[in-house]
Amino acid sequence: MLSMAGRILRDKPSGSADYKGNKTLKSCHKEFHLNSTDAASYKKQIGKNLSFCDLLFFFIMIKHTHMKRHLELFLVFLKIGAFTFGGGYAMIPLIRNEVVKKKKWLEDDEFMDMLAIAQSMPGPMALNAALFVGNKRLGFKGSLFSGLGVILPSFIIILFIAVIFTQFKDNPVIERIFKGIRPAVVALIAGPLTTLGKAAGITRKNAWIPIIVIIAVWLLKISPVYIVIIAILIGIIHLAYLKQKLKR
Amino acid sequence: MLPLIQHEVVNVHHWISVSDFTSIVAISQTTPGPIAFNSATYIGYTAVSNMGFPIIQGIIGSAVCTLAVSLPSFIIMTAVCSFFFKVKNNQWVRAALLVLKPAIIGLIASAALMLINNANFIDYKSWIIFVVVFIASRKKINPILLILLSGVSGLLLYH
Repeated sequence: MLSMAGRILRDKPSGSADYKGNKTLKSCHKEFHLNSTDAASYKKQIGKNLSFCDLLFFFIMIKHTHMKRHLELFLVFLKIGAFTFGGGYAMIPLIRNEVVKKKKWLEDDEFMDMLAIAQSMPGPMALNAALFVGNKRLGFKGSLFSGLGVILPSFIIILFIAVIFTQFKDNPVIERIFKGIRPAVVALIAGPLTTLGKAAGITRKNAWIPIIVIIAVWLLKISPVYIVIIAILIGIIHLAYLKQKLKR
Repeated sequence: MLPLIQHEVVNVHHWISVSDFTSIVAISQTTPGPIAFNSATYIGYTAVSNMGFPIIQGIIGSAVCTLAVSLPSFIIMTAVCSFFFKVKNNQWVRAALLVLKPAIIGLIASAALMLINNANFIDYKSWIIFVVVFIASRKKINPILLILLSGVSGLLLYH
């Protein structure tokens, strides 16, 4: 039974760094190698012999090995999803607090990479950011957990409002609470800007970039999509220009 | 994203009315989570129950809408992430990020500036909350705690 669980576990991407140094799993691999001679017969038997006991053992193995990290990822983004009031940008301080400061899954400059990608790809930025962190940490499966975590709170709350609490919008208590939360969310978005600016590599030389973006988006109401495309193009053209200059 | 949703759901398919859509957007903005998801979930439920189906079908409808709206992100981000981690140190990618990252800071700053409007800042009390939370967030106090405290202070300050 143990060896069969080993077979199942081996089919996972066991080469990745997440699985290294895991004693239980290692011993399981040993067990597998001892019995690996009759691996072909396992292939035939897997349909017949997958008993409840095997499955139970498999799930216990998962729970005590790498599944813990998946669960942690899920719970962190569940927390972030539950407290993000006011759209994608409001999620930035929360993700940074959990992922960079507390869990130290990303450095501040990697966090900026993440923001750049989450912003430039289609889809809600908050989900893109969650998927990036999940993918960075535990691959595709990780992104499934972080994505589900970030979606689930809003899904449950909206269903609650739609089905039961239909007077939500006109409730005076809710309105008073939100009068307090709305300016706080703006402050939370603005708060970490200087630290993030340093991580983004803003110095006196390139401070014109954010200033022009602010003028374009805030005053001229240009869509962020164009800003992202133009910024990428400027970066690439600049490098091409520098290369051309070096050749001469 | 909202204009797109409105066009499809209200104008093309006639699943919900314009006034329904407006109140759905208003609620989506006040509840936690990305607005696109909130409105998708709500629209899924409203559209199905408008057709006269019971609650359970409505919940299934909202689940379908939420999954559908997040599917493109899943596919794109899975592809982009595996690609990005490989080419992260490529000079062209670095060159693009060199300009993109400061631009993103500009985008975040302009998002904050655009949110300073009459809907979010109604009187001097809003500004007091803003300044206090701004300073507190720079003192590395947990943002979730700050959101909870500002909700409580809103309850106490406004009548």
